[in-house]
Amino acid sequence: MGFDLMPRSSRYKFRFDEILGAHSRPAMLMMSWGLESWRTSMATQIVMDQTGDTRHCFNPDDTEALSKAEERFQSLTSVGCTAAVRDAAGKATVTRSFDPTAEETLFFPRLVGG
Amino acid sequence: MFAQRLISATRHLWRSLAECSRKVQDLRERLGTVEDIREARGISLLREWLSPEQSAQFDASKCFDVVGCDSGRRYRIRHTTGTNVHEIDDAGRPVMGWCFVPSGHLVAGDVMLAQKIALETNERAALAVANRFPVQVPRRTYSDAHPRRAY
Repeated sequence: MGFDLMPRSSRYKFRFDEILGAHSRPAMLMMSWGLESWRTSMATQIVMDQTGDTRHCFNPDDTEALSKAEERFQSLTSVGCTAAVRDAAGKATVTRSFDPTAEETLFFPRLVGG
Repeated sequence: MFAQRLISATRHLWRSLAECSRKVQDLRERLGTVEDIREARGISLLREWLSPEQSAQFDASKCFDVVGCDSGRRYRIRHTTGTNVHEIDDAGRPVMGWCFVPSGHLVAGDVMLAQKIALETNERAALAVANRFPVQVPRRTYSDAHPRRAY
């Protein structure tokens, strides 16, 4: 006997062994909660480059990671990159100083006449 | 004897040439894939930053409109890496071209995103570095202006 992880209406059912399932289900739930909290707590610095972009993720609660992110911000803006952040409504704003609360900061190179 | 050697050498040469050509083709395909991945990453990043209206317009016509933060003028950004910003009038007709791009060899999506943010956040600075270029508007011919009457 096993139990369905997916709702009964779902066509594809993921069957677990009764004993294994009883142990693994709480573990899986804990893993998913952990993943969710990781997602919400991580901040990202996106740097446009020749590969498309490079993303630097860091935990803003980690002092060391935060200081590294601030260093990266300073070094990129000192070479002429523009830093932009988005507000809750999705509107972009250019920022001149490092914002430790920003979830996502985008850097693009200096603009030149084409 | 000599003829046999000649045939063998020719075969060997052809085999080598075929091998080389296959390698070149493989390399070209691999480079093409890398280029496609770069382009896709650029477009994916652009989509993350577009407003829902701009995203819908980009899906429909590979371009999107932005409003300059200083003048309130409208610009249309097209999907290429240069000479792709057109100032448009109320009817959506291009009136002037503005050429400015982020330095370095960036993909089209990145270029368009940088142009969008620049115009929406610091229009004056963006236009200060830009070069203007005339936009070719489809001319109205005499027959367009004076349609022939049916007698």
